[in-house]
Amino acid sequence: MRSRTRWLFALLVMSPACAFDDGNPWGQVTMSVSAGFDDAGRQKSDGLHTSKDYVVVLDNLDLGLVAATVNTSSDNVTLSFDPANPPEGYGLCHNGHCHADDGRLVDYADIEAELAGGAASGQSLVQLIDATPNLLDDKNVALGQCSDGCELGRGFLQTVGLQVGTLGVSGRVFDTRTPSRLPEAGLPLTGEIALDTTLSSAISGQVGRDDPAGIDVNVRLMAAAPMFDSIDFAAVAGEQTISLDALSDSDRALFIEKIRQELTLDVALERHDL
Amino acid sequence: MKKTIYITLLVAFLGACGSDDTNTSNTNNQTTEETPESEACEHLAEGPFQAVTAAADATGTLENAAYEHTRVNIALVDIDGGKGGFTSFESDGEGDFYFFLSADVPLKILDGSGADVAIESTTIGSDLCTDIGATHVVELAVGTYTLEFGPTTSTEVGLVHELAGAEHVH
Repeated sequence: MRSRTRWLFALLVMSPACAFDDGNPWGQVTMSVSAGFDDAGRQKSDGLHTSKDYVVVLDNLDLGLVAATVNTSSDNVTLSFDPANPPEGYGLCHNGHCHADDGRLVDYADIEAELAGGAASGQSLVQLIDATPNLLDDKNVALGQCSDGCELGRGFLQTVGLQVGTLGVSGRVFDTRTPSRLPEAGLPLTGEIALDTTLSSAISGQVGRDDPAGIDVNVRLMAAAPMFDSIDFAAVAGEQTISLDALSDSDRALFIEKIRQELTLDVALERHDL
Repeated sequence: MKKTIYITLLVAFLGACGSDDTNTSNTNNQTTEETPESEACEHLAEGPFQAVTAAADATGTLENAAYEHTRVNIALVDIDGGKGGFTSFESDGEGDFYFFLSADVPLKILDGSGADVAIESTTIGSDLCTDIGATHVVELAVGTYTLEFGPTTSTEVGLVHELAGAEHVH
């Protein structure tokens, strides 16, 4: 009897050592989000050059950020695919990437994460942002509330998503061709485009007993200058201004597709004990 | 005797580590062998494909033949001396561009003011694959250029372009 009591006591002390450790969760996420602009070598002394021979001088490039998400799955899903038989939405797969139908080149790891995310149940932790940073300032973004207190249950890290709302632009556009397609003094560029897209990046790791509970998720969004390549500014210019709001449906769709191609998301994870 | 066993174990252990490194190195070698030429071979053979029609003269609106990682099939039209025509090429980068053609069709590149851009080198055929008929290397900046094809007897030519040093910055 005494022996059984001793074993029971030892079991009670030892088994919940992790779960009862000061009430810590299995995973505590701390997010940071920064957003910036990459001139991609297009910045010359007169402004950003486009492939249609225009020069864009930007005052503001305001990107509306809605939320960041950290997605986990309950199972360690490592869905793979055969590059010789690309998944739906993709064409040729080779050299570690597939050609998406919308023109993007997507790494195998991101496609696998996408497939896994759709196949497994898990947790989706939502960090609200609700900020519209000027990408030219290249700063950290102020964050809002985080669902579930930013706590993750046991599972496997799968993806980080960043929901983007609108892109607002203000600046001035000039033409480098002779004869010029625009007034010599250029035209002001204004307007806003609704992107309503979610960028996604694969992450890996486990949330559980054997892993440090602190999870710093550092999200870095970059927008690159070639996003303006799709616009023939002279063709869409009014008398006094060039307004993105006045783009035709087909020009808007082309511009949105190009912007999406030129947005890149990098995610760095740091694990530490709480 | 004991010493011999220890040495044998040590040699076996080190041998195992060495063999792992070699495999990793081989794997790495396999992933770093991609070149503009090998990319062109793949895209010329497997696509994706994009159809573009050349114009008979360069004064009108020209179709853009700059599609990254794509075989652009350019339909050539009647010109003096055979088939040929003009397309635009919107360069989105700066540096040496490789123009891989599926056939040795004459190619000239003109800048925005209509002046010839010097072709740095031309190679006929390829040791890597039979899909490449000719390769031209030319230095371009960001902006719009005109490609002039022909005259030739071919009714179509395939084009894949790669920017040197940027072939895997996807």
